[in-house]
Amino acid sequence: MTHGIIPPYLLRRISRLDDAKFAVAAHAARVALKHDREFRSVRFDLSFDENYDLVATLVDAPDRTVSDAGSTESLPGTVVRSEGDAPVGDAAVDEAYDGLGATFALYSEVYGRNSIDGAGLPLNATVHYGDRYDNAFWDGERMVFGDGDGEIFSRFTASLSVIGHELSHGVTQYSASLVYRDQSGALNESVSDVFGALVEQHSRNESVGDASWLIGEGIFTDEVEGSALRSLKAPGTAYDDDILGKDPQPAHFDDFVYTDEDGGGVHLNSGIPNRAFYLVAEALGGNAWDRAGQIWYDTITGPILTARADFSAFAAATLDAAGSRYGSRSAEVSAVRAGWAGVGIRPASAPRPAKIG
Amino acid sequence: MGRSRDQASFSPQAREDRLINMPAVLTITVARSGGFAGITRRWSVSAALDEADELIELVDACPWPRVAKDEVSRDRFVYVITVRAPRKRRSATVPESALTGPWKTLVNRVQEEPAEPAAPPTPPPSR
Repeated sequence: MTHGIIPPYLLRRISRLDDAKFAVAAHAARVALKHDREFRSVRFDLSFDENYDLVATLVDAPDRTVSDAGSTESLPGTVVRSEGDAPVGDAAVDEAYDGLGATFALYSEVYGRNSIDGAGLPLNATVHYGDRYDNAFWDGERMVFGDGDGEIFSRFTASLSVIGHELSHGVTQYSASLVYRDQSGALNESVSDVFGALVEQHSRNESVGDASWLIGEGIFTDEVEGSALRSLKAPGTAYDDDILGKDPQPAHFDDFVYTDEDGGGVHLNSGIPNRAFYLVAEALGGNAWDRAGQIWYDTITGPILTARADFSAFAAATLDAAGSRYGSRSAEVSAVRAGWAGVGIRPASAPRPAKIG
Repeated sequence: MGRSRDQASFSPQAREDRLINMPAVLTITVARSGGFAGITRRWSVSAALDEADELIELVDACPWPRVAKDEVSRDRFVYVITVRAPRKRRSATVPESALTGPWKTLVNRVQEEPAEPAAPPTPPPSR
């Protein structure tokens, strides 16, 4: 099996072959060229079968561009690595490039989604944003990474789960579009943490039991008492530090945090649905991206979830997704129901007639 | 202090007296919440009103009633900027993407002050 990026001139040459023996390859090349015209990327795989006939296959492929902001706050910065380019030797650039690829791989290989929008959208990243900038964010079109201050945070690309988290904000933007405030905002955050963790687990081939379930492992400096920013398995335990304080995430709805900051605590209350996902994955075992991840993916891309869904409505949508895919009496439905019960969320039921009297 | 709860002390004149006796201080606080980490950091600067011309100029330069919203970005910082002075309080919530020009100058000035020690790890409840 030969894998490779076929340059356009070669694709054009293959597309013009009129030998019947190469008909499939010629057709594939024409499709690939059409994709190129639409600025969509595909992988064009060539191989020989047992009769030594040329076999061409088209596979969805990422179209990555990493730019360098050069410690300024202007976007997008200068392009430093494009799709197919060799590593450049700058850790942030190469980690971003590889992380974009690993995120693309999870969505494409496991859920059949071609990039963020499901239609091959190019994946863009900017690194070295700002001066000692302590953050990573999604601006609606690209993920942007700072280098950290060097005292508390080091560079944010060092954690694959952070990259998966940012790009998953893009997936949510093109699917469930959860409003970034209060409970729907915490769900938006949680979806990014869930798929950020799954990108990392899928890339490392880690089962539910092997995985750390941490978000942002490796982005604290050695000065900080903490392993990561968040834990899906045990929200509230990721760090406990003199300067930063203790990880404030709740793990149960009883401890829901009411605040005006951070859009109503979207990065805090995400601990509750995060833990629910972990409980579902733990109950089902194996690889979390397979069934638990599939149910969550079906939920955010499905017809039921609304942009202003609260925890209870989201829980109901996951139950519906699990029932549709695995059957209403399946182990998956039981696991989902138990997962939400474990964090104190009762799934919303269909509207009932108003009480009389 | 003996008659501080006396009805008379709520008269306009009494209030005026108290204000005059209050130290006339201008305080600007910046609370930066959100971000990927969701960790709130706070900075503040205070100055006696009669020595606060520089700060007042920075405050007045900001477009207080017109702050752009940002409905698209995720994991960006949100700045709550509050100015307190006797009988005056002004506050604005500024998304990071709108923190440009005079807002940026003001926040940079406040951040120059040493950070407040022991910021609470959990934001204060709003209810």
